[in-house]
Amino acid sequence: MAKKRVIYNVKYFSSIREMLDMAVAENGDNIAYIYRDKDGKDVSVSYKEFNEVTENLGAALTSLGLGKAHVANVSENSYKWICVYLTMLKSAGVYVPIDKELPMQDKTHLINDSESEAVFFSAKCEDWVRENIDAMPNVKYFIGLDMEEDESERIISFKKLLEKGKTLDKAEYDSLKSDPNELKMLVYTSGTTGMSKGVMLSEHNLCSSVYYGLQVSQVWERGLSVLPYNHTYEAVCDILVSLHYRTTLCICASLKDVAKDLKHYKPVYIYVVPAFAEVLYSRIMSTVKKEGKEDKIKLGISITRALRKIGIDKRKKIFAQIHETFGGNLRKIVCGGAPIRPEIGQFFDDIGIALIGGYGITECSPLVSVNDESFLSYDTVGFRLPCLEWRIDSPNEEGIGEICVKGDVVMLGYYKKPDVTAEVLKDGWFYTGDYGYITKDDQLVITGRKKNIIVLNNGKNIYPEEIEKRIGNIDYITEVVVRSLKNSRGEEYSLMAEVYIESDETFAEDKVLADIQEKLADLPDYKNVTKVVIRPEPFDKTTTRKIKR
Amino acid sequence: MFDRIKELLVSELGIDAAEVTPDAKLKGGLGISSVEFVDIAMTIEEEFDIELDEDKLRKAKTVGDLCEYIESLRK
Repeated sequence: MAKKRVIYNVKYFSSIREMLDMAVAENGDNIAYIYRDKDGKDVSVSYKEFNEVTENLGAALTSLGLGKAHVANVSENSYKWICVYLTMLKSAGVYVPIDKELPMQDKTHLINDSESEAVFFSAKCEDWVRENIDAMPNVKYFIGLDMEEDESERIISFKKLLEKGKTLDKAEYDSLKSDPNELKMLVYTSGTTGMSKGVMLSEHNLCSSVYYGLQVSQVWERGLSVLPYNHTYEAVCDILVSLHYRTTLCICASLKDVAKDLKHYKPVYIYVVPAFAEVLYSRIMSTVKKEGKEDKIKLGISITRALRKIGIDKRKKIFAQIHETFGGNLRKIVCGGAPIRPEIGQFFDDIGIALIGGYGITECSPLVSVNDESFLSYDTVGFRLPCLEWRIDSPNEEGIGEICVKGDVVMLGYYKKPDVTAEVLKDGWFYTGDYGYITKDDQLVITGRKKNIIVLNNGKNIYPEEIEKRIGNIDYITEVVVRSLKNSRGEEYSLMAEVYIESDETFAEDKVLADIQEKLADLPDYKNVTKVVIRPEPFDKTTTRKIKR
Repeated sequence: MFDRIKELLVSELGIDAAEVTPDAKLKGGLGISSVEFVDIAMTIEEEFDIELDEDKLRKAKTVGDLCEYIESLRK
């Protein structure tokens, strides 16, 4: 429920270079990043040292004629990834982050489509570079992030490049300027279906996302960074936001290391996807069960809830053991990419960790709205960024329609795709393709994706996500997708639920259907499910862990 | 080793014990999702006090491959 909403004070900046210069001038000796080296030892880098690396790398790239070029990065999360990222954002060029997990041919296609003249790559992508180098004729340099020595004129070492940069004059790189409203970052998004589109973001888009995002949702002095950097969610909402807050960002190399890195780095906040929040939740519950402390937890929750009603918060003390598993300082888990199950959100809130949900889309750099500890709600995706207007296009009688937004974070368009751009950008309004409604106090509620809408032959629109959310609350159901049932004329006349149940027990479809119908009992008849299919394996997922429908 | 991994897959992910054979495919056959794979990797690291390499872990296609990889780290 909306409580007293806080708008935080944030220092204004107009470029990424200015943002980093401000950080160096005001907090240059603060630790910006901590990462593990090859031997597993922690390496700390101050804001001042980090900025020097970007200056050296920037000077070296400029000397290679790349100061205004499109430069791609195909590598896993690392401190070096962030160095390349900030170096490029400060230049007059364009940064193109590419998912290293894509098939080889897709990576090659995106390098060519983006007209990249240089490509940073990690050791894990060396085979791809060697096997496809001739298929990327526009690329002048492939820069090996893990290479000790230059290999050829085109394949060069990051280390050597940086050494060269140290010796160069920085004046030319420092004088590079680009129009804040021109393309600065090109992010390819596959969405859950269809071909990749290059989302064109300007420097003004990125700066606005940080400046206005921090006004509605706070970060703290130490964060743990783990989600893929090639997504704007992590690259902007975590890396850039944390930089402007002067956070120490601890780099976690893999999701599997999160549990131990939480203990090791003791962060105050972390960004994850809901599926991983579920893993953290199930791990807590399994420990609680093993230790026979279920009743103790229930009692603790009752006590802390009662105390909070009279303004006393003892959650951290009562659930100290759970907090220890998170390092002891964790107060906020930001969840993006998909809706949070309210039960999970409530559990984390009960133990004293805010599970924050928001709404973002790459085309909006990516943040549209977000919750905050000061107005935490699991039913909405929070308040809009102050730089945005929003409206619902063609709302139905329930006020639900396509969410449209306008403002400083909205993309310039899709790269080299004016027709596709014209379909979604009209008079400055971006048609998100997501459906929802706006509450009386101007918060957004998402009901589903436009492309997922089922139109029944009685004319009723069904948002399958609304029904899936309810079915997902049945304990034993692990995953669910609601689809339409079609009659012989191909008309959608009713609904079916395809479910995956992760259990030793065998479940009959009749029993599952009865449980689902009970869960949906208060919905109108046309929203009810009339058939259930139990699938033997989990649904396929996209790289962002969304179910492929 | 196989018995212990089998026990983990059954208890942590609720997979049917009869399905867990050395040749069972982790993702295809047993239907383990990416996030579940992360979950089980975390448990294995804690249980055996070892450090798994993500790329090598991904190369383990079957339960047998996974056991073999864990064994190699314990030597």
